[in-house]
Amino acid sequence: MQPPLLLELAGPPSSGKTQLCHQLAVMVQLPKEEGGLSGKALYIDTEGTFRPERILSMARYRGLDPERVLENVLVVEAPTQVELVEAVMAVERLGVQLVLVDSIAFPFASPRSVGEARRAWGRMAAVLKRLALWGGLAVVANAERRGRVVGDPYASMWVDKRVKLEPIGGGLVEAHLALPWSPWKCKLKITEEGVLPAD
Amino acid sequence: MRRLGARSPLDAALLDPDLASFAGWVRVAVEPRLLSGLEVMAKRIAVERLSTGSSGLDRLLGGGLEAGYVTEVAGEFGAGKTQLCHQLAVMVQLPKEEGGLSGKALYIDTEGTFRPERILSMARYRGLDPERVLENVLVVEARGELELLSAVASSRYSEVRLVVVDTLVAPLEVGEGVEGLARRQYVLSRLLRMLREAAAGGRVVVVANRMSMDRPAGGLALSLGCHYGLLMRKLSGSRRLVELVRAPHLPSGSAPVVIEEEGVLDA
Repeated sequence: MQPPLLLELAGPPSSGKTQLCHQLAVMVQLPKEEGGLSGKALYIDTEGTFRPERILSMARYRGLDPERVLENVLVVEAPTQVELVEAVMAVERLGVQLVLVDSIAFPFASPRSVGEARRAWGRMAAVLKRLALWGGLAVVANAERRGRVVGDPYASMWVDKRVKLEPIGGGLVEAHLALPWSPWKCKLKITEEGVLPAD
Repeated sequence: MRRLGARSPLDAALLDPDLASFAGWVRVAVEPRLLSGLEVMAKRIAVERLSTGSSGLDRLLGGGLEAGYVTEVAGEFGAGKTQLCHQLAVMVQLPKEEGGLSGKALYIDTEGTFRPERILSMARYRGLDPERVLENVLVVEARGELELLSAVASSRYSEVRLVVVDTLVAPLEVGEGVEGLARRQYVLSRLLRMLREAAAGGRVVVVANRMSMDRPAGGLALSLGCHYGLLMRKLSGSRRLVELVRAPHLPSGSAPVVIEEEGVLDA
């Protein structure tokens, strides 16, 4: 992933989106030679699913100092639309290289009426637009309902790339690039050490 | 403000921040509260856990149900959700050394399935004074939507350590068409927000959920609203399988249990 990029991870619940977000918060801290950006991450946690324990075990696996890694992950809880907008507005001031939003769906998923849904998607688009124009790396996790990504088509207008995750049983997840569409698929395994290739 | 159905500018700001700030009612400037991962870790270490009464299930959950979070227990009719809920209402009263939180329980009963007899026999098995235990289980019958809303809203202020909602979806009305369903999902997500707030005050919150078309009812609003998800499945006889389907930091897995007169026990 090369900045500027707005990447969306879409998939049904427990397809590994949150796990990938945790892993990216660790990977961004690796030096450039090892695929990182030697930078910090901002984790915008809307669902209350950020778990520092996961960061610790993933950092240990990558041979990093777990406490240092944890120190370089900034966490902000943003369960409502207002807080999410505020958190995204603050991104530029924070000096981070990677922004993770886990998940964009939660604050917008249950509007009270069809009319409010439209306004909510508009606000979601504003958040995504802001992240897209930010010029750094941003990854948003998004939920799927009955095979459709929440907030589409507003969501797909702003994201540069979308990766779809699909659990296929046995702790395995199939990932493929849905935007721009590509036929290649890869299998991932979710383990204690993080999200790893299945073979 | 009236158009939004809000009673105060603050309400309006929560419903539609753009409109509220445009009208000059509020300056929406909530400075985001940033924490470092280390600070979050300190909070996580302090999390208390409530034993479920089955050591296999506790192991699956990484030591028990976490206080401060909402856990969904889904399962079809007769899978043992209500039994587990009853048992938790007993377990929460045990002292901390024995896996409890030495607190009271609030049981929000929407389907009329609360049975004090079950509490009595489970309490006896755990070596507790059955009457004392029953006294410390507060039961609210909430057969309608408004009753449920007010029961859940008041759970934020009550002095209990466990809030059980058995079940959350049943009393919610589904109106006609897309709007009707959207409204139910909206009410559901408001309820879960209230339950999350109740949990944030150091309570264990458990939401029982039935299945609809082989999936937990309530759709995305419910599954996103809960931090942890358990799924109970019927095996032969009194044996049941509890699967951990949603947990951000735990490997998925399952634990077999049996449902006996004494409660939900290790198989």
